[in-house]
Amino acid sequence: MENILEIKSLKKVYNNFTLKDVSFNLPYGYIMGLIGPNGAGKTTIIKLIMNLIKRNSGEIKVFGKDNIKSEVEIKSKIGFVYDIPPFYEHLSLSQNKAIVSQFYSDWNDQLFGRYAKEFEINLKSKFKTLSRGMKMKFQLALALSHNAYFIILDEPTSGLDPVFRRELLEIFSELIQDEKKAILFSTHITSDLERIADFVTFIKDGDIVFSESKDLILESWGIVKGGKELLGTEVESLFHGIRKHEYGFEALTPYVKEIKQKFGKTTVSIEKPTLEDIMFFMTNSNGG
Amino acid sequence: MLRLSLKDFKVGKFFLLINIGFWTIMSPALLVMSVDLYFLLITLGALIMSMIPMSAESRDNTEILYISLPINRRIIVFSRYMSSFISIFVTFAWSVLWALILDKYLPVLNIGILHRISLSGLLTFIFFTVFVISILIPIIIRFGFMFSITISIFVTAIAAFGFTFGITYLISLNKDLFSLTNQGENGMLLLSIVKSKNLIYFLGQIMNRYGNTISIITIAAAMALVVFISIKISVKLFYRKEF
Repeated sequence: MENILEIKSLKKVYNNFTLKDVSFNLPYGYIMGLIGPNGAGKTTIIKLIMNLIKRNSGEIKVFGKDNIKSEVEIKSKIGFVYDIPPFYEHLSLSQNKAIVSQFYSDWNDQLFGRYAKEFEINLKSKFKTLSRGMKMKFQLALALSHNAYFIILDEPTSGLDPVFRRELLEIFSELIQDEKKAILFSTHITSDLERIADFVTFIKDGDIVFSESKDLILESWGIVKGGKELLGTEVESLFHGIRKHEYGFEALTPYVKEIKQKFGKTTVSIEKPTLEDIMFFMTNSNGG
Repeated sequence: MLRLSLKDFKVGKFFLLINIGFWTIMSPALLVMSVDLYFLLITLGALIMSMIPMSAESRDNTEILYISLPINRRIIVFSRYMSSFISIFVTFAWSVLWALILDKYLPVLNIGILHRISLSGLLTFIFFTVFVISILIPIIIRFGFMFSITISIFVTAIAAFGFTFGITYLISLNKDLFSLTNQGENGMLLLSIVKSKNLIYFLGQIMNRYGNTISIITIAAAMALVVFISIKISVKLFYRKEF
């Protein structure tokens, strides 16, 4: 599989936060979701890919090229959506669009018009008068209208109503059908990822906890519930985010087979987790 | 680069129109105002005008937008200078042109700008404006708009008062300095400068001595050098900047 994005040993040091040795790849034709708690480093990774901030070490290749050396060329093929839309508040949407569109050689005004209609965007409105959801829709229309091959989105679905969110996810799915494009997006709404993501990268405290196929994650991980008497140092090392309560414990584990062999089905119950469960348990985990 | 500069006029067109409109109305003020003071006010107008796109950029965080677009960072910096210089040129050109139009078609106003304006004076003010912009842009790139403007106003105020106080203090120590500075005995240096047109007197003397061509070439070369150094610093700072 050829990768549209390759990140190797990426490091970024701030005074109070460090992104440590991050490595993952995204192949052409797939959608990857970046998840993690607030301040985990999702936006930092996106900013590093877009070269908005400088990396301390490591390598980022987009379309097989270094993202700093070939910055302009790469950015002409990237569609971006930021958490806080960076547009002129006092200008109308069509004026803002005119500022952006002139810099893309592949800009497709008809396509933009189509998205504007589909997203019910009034181009005469001033940017400052829009709701967060409408601002996001406008950004999305811009990002999708210059035949970008790589779409990077930072929290694109926050502020959007559920109906539009679902429509948007369908658009994303359609976009990657030709297998020449890919989408990377960070989100807190894990149900969106369950619906469309092919890969999930989980970040916590600047570290990649896992970066794998979503199906593999959901199949191989499990939530184990059992009595507290089963817990011990050796057993606890197999779990993430153990939650003890009056009647027993529950915890997340990537070692479903081992747990089944050790305890059998009668002493513990094992359920399939959702991505939200995984995020919840991993966020409350101190290792393991 | 021109496209990027032109967007600054889209962003600040309302203020550009206000600026031009203001000087259109204010031209008859030349009747009661010295040319120096008039140009000093135009300089302020030109400076404010060239700052408008940068303030909008700072308010709406649109720097991130430009960094995310397929534009070379060097071009982004160049365009910032270019739009600032176009703003300065437009403001000065219109204020002089309009005064000339009034002179020709409304002689009753008796503005007489051609007799009162000197090339040296005009160049001094343009050079001063370009110089200020060249100092400000790298500072804005490094420290951000709001911080830079606040600090600049503070530093300018301290420098102006410090300069006035220093000169006045020196004059009070040595009466002979009165004859050198030609300020009279009241020590009101800034007011005297404005009243006696001394701000451009020095440059005027140079131009008289060396002739217009050499003086203009010298001023243009000095201006170009200042701008060149400023752009070099700005590009370096912009490449290092994190958003």
